[in-house]
Amino acid sequence: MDIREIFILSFQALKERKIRSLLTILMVMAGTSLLVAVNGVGAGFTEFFNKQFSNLAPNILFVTSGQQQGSSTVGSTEGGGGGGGGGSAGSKITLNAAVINRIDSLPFIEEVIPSYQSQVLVKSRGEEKTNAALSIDPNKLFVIAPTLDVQEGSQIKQNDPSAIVIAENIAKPPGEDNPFVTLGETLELEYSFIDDTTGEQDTISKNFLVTAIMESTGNPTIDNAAVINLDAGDSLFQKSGKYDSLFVVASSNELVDVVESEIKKLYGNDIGVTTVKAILKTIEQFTGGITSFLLSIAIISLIVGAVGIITTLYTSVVERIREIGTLKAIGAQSSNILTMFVFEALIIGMLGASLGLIGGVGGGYALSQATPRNEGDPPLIPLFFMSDMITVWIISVVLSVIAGLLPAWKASKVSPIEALRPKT
Amino acid sequence: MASSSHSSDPILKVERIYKSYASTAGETPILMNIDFEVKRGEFVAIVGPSGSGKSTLLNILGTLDRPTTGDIYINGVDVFSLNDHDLAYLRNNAIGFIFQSYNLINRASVLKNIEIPCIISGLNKKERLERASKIMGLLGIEDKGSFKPFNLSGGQQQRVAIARALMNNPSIILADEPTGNLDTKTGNEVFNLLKMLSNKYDRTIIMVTHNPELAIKTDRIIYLKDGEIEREEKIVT
Repeated sequence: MDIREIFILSFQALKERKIRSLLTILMVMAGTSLLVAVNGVGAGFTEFFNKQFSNLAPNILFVTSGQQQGSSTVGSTEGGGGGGGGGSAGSKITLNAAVINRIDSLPFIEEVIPSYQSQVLVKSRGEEKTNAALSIDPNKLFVIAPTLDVQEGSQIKQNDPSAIVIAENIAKPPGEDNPFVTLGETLELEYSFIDDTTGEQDTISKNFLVTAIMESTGNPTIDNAAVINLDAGDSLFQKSGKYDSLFVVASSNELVDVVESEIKKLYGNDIGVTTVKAILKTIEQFTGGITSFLLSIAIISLIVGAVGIITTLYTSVVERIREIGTLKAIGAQSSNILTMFVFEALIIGMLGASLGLIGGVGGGYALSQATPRNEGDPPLIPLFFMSDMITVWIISVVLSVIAGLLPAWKASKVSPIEALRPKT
Repeated sequence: MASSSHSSDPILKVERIYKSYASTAGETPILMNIDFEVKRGEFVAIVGPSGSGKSTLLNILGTLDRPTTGDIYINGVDVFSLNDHDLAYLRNNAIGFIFQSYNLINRASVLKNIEIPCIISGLNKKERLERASKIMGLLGIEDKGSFKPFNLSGGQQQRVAIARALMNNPSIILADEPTGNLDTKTGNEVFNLLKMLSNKYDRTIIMVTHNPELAIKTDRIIYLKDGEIEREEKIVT
């Protein structure tokens, strides 16, 4: 039997039941779309984080202690230090000059950059905003974020305790028309804390001159920080030489692991050490977990689509039983009937999968738009690889055909006598 | 298929057909001791009351059903020695079916419906169309090719079904109450077409009918009663 003619008969059969066929195609399309969209967004995520963290110098280790100051700092758990800010609970180490010296004496270490981190209230021209403050030698910003750039007219002064360097995100928050802070203006930082002896809340304020505005780097610690030097931080946050975190610079990227184990050897679990590599790995595990969860939902919806095909074709077999009987009576082989119904599943699968690819790309963009992210972060752009799309298409079509096999087999087994028996 | 033989040789030979169904009450016989022959070009009517086994007999003649015991020879071929695949081939090439309710495929055009037996047999398109247009001309539906069956009258639909049955030039045409769904006038027209095919084109036709007026216009009547041949009547014109 002419395969093309069977195909035409199948196509006409689907056209004859337009609504039902369309709905079934939509079911396949939904599964395929979801699969494509989730895949695309997953790839986009990975790319997004790779880009974000490629801005972090890979030879830097973040060393933290869980040590809290006697006075509990407001919002001390802010996510500074590129994810290492929290430190490990129960640490017994105070990150002071002695510890710094000891770490600095370890092999393969270029330098150790200490820092304070805290939340402050920034007051500028009558407006107030809570923000992260990073207290560090301002020149070392270029070590932590090698891609750092400052706006024209900026000056970074190492030993000026009244100078402040502001991230672009703070100076002119994205989506706002007017800048919050401009270069050359004086602003006030207010730090609030609980007094150890009285138990009362107290505040300290200090004025700073904005000497530099940092362009966006992709490093979240720096991109959202107001940077003051160590002396200023020490007095404002009352740290008295007890640092919150250290940036340990290894002499090369390859030696990061060695340095990490050396530090661990020294202090064991009393100290928290985080590397860029470890952060990337954690994030990859996290996004990978979410992606595979969503993928499993997408695959389930694809299977639901396949069940839809079974239902639709099975109904069609029952409705067209006379046609099947007639075709058999006039000499069609069982294999011809089987082919006819498998073709119907194939057509549904191919149309659904093809529309699903288009829908999936659109859905991927919609999904990434809907993904919550911090203001000022670069947009999350889904990535679609041709090879992935082809794989998804083939999976959808093959699944559709497999789903079609059961009703098709049923149709091929129809007894013509039963089928042609006059309706009573 | 076996080559066509001398015109006096039977084209169809039915030998001791017995058919029964197992039921809760035990075995129920439907057909018993059915023996007859049909010669090339003969027009035979099978007549009998409801439940006499007419349809079962026609299904067995059409190889859609197998007898419990007994044989059928079409062109000398013992058809029930064939497997299902070869039986389908035989139905396609040696048997033409005409049903009471036409059984056309409504989504396909009239022409496509007529072409189907040749599509199944794998005949090329050119020859298919040539055959179809010749047969459609013969049956007076030459202008209906592009119609959908449901847009035609009952009589026209039955002509389409007859055209379909003729496409592969079958040895036997089996017609199951072909005028049963038609009014008397249209029924007569359709019957006259079958009669014409028999007389003019030497077609072998076996027709199951309720209608005695039509039956007596055939060459021979086989009366069935309670699953057995009650009598045969040769019509002499």
